[in-house]
Amino acid sequence: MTTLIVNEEVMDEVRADPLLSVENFAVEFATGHGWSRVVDDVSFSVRAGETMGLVGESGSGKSVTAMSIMRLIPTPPGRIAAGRILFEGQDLLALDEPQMRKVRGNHIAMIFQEPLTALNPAFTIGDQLVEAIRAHRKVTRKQAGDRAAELLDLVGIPGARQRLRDYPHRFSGGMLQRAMIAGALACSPKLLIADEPTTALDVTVQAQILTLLRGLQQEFNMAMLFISHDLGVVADICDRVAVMYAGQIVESATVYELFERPLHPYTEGLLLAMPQHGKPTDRLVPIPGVVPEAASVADRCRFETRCRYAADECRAAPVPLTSYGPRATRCVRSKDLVLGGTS
Amino acid sequence: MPIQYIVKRLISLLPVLLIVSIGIFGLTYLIPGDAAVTLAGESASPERIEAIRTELGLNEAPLVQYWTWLSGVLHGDLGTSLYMHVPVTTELLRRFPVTISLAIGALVVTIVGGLAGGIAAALRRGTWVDRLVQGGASVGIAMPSFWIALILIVVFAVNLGWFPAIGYTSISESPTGWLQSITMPSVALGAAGAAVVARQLRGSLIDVMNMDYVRTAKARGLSPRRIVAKHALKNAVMPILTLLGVQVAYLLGGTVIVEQIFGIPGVGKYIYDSVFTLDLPVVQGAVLVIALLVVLINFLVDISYGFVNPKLRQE
Ligand SMILES: Nc1ncnc2c1ncn2[C@@H]1O[C@H](COP(=O)(O)OP(=O)(O)O)[C@@H](O)[C@H]1O
Ligand code: SF4
Ligand SMILES: [Mg+2]
Repeated sequence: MTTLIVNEEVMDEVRADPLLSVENFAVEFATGHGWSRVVDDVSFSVRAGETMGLVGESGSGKSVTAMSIMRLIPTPPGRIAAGRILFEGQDLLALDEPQMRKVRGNHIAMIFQEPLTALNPAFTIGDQLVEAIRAHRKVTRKQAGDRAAELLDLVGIPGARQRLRDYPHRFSGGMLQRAMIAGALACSPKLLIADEPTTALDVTVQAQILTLLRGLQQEFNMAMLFISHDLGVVADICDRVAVMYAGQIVESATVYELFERPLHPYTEGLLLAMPQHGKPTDRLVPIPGVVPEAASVADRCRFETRCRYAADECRAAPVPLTSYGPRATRCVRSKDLVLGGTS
Repeated sequence: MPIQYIVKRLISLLPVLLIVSIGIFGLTYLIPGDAAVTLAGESASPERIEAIRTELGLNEAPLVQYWTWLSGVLHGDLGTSLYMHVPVTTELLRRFPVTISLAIGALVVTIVGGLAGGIAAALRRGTWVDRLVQGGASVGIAMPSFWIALILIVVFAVNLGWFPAIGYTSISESPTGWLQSITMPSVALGAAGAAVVARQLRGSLIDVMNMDYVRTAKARGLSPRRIVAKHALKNAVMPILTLLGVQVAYLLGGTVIVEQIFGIPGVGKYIYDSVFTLDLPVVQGAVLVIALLVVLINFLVDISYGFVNPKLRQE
């Protein structure tokens, strides 16, 4: 049994009012045989100016969680089954559609995975930027046009003013993602949700976009919820991270602590599977199997089907998320397992 | 829009025009037996037969005949009616505005009905609105225009007396009279097009509403009205434009029946009457005008397609 050291300074920060606080949140989708809960008991928070990572394999519920914060889950077939989403203390789930529209793009902005299809092919980049600005700001077309040029320049597109007149098909994937970021910054949001913003880009462009996001995030002291399936990318850009598995958060910690010493076997598995500088690729150990459907493992530890530490107690009941100071994990054996980090 | 784009489209029309002219000229050769004898009708005098032979130049070699006919056409001379003895061009010029006003009326019915039905059905997908539009569209497509015309006449002219059953008032005579005389024919002629457009638009609008850029627009806090009217519609309308070109061709063909039913003295009725009297120059001239109109409209559709789709325009 190892002791978990609780850093009191970090605890104070945790207790400070977060910008966004998702509490015991659940989403269900209608299926042929009733409601399927694809996001279950998800709680995490993002503080002003911080970058929070949400990581997990494909299908673990990251995008559904992100879209729920924006209240953009199609209902039907979806429905929000439980929980609260507090943004600056206001429960977004209690807002009506017109009120919610004043939040979207204004206080909370979002960028997506696939830049090539994210902008309308029938309108110019400038038109779509001006529109994003004028959606929430009472400015003239001319003023919005100037601001649009400023924004494109800010995200590192050369010859910004000329490029405003271009249609999206003239832009490369990386430039389109920059243009999307410009659109997201249009109304100086307090929170930017980035759902796998670099996944569709090749490695060098990916690094450029990450650098850009990091820079902008610091320059504007904007909070960011950064979603990725890639723990390496998350390590690069995030302060804290929550690991999602089969619709639940299984571990959350600062990036440093998570890498130093994971508390959940799934996190350990992700770390072992992660390519790293100086680590021979034949040392990579993929997690065996695939993410099960959340509903099929709802009565026990959801990772049990793939966990190498699985024991009888893991199958007995669903595992609650347990806090250890600023960290939390969802593993019944967390106290007696000593898992390997990257150090 | 770059001039080159328009010029390129224009040049691509030349072969089409050539084929159209050959086809229309070739109508002469579809007449069985000695064309002059057939066209002159029963119990015609030999002088009359000879006059027709000379009028149509039937003694010449086919290529010479074609050339003579074509140069006449290019000079605006479409020959003279074999029965009315009026120059076809004169008569067509008189009737053309009538048919155009009917065609525009029908096009308005097609576009307005199609847009309204398609948008309503797509946005209210799965509700009674959707089912109503889809049911209406099926009926509109299945029912021939003369059927719709007869139902309209029975209901709105005979029973309700809102519109005159037949006849045409020109817009210069009385604008309201014109509107009244053109309403039912326009609906009869445009209903099928409206049905086709509504059905197609519903489908493409549903597809477009699932696109990533619509999600982006929502995430930026745009209103549903703006998302539909601007982002979705411009993209959903692209496949409809091509369809509209085809619909206009159908619609112009449909004027032959609809003008006959409603007694509208347009080009369609001119064709209808002349076919039964085998008045060849009239049929040729009128069909040529309609064909040119179809070509012109498809050209305009092409151009507008380039206008809506920036990719076509910029490359
Ligand atoms: N519109 C939808 N209808 C039904 N199921 C959905 C829908 N969207 C997402 N899901 C389900 O929710 C689960 C989580 O999906 P998602 O949040 O996209 O995963 P991630 O972003 O982590 O890859 C998946 O099993 C997926 O099938
Ligand atoms: S609860 Fe058991 S099965 Fe689940 S992660 Fe912990 S050790 Fe593995
Ligand atoms: Mg996703």
